[in-house]
Amino acid sequence: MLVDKEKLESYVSKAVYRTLEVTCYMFPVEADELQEMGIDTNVSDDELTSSVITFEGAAEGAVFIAVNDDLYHALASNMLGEDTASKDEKDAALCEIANIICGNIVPFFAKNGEICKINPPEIGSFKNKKLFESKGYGHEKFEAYVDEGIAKVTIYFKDAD
Amino acid sequence: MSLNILIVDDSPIMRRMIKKTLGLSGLNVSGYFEAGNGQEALKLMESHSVDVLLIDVNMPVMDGLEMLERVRHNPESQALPVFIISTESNEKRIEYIKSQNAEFLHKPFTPEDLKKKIVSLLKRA
Repeated sequence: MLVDKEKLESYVSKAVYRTLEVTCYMFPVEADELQEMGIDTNVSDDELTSSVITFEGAAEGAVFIAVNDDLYHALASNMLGEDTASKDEKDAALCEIANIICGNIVPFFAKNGEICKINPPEIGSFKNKKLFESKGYGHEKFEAYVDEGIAKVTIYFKDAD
Repeated sequence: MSLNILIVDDSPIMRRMIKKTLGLSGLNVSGYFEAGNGQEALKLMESHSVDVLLIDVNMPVMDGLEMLERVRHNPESQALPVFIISTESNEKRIEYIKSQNAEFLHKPFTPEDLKKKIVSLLKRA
C-alpha cells in the first residue's frame, strides 16, 4: 500500500480532534498557547500514558495514543462530567478514546469497503512499538494540542507487497 | 413519551458516557438498563420492558450484530427501535444494519445527533 502521507495526516487530525471535541469537550490550540498555560509541549515519550489498539482483516496495524498527565486526568472527568476519577476510570477513558480514534482511522487503510476487526484497546507501553517496528510496519506520527493537554498518535500499518 | 432505554456495551465507561449524553439530549428517559454483551441484554429483556435499544458492535460472548439478528427473530421485539453503535462507518455493515430495520449511529456522536436519530426512529416506528 502506497500511503499518501498528507492525506493520512489530514484523516488522523480530523479523527483525533473530532473525537476529543465531541466526547470530551476539548478544543484545538497552538503549541505556544499550551506553553502559556504552563503545559510543557516538549514532554518525553517516557512521561506519557499510552493506549494501544490493533486492527486486522482488511488492513493490519496498530494505533498508539499517548497523552501527557494533564490530558490523562482530564479525559475521564470530561467524558463522565465528574470532577474526580479513579485510575481505572482514567485508563478506561483513554482506552475508549483510542477505540473511537482507531475506528475512525481504519477506513483509510481498509480499501474497497472491506471490514477491519478492531481488537480491544489496552494500556500499553511505548516499548510495545518496537514489536511493530521489528515487523517492518510503516508508521506515521501525529501530535494534537488541545486545551487540556497533548496527545501523540502513532499509526503502524502493514505495507502490501 | 417516556422511554426505557437499554444500553449494551462491554465498556462500563462508554455506558456511563452514553447515559450522560442521553441526559444532555433532553429526551424524556424514565429508566436505563445496562448490559455488557448481547447475551446479558437478551436475558434482561425477558424480564424488563424496553422501548429503545442502543447496541455496540464489538463485544465479547455475543456481539451487537448477532444480538440484532436475534432481536429481529423474536416476535416480541422484532419491531423494537434499535441503534447499532460503531466507530467504523463501513458501507457493507451499514447496509446490513438497515436491512435488519435498525439505525446506524457513528461514534463519536453529540447529544443532538442522538436525540435527532432517536426521535426520527420513534416517529417511524
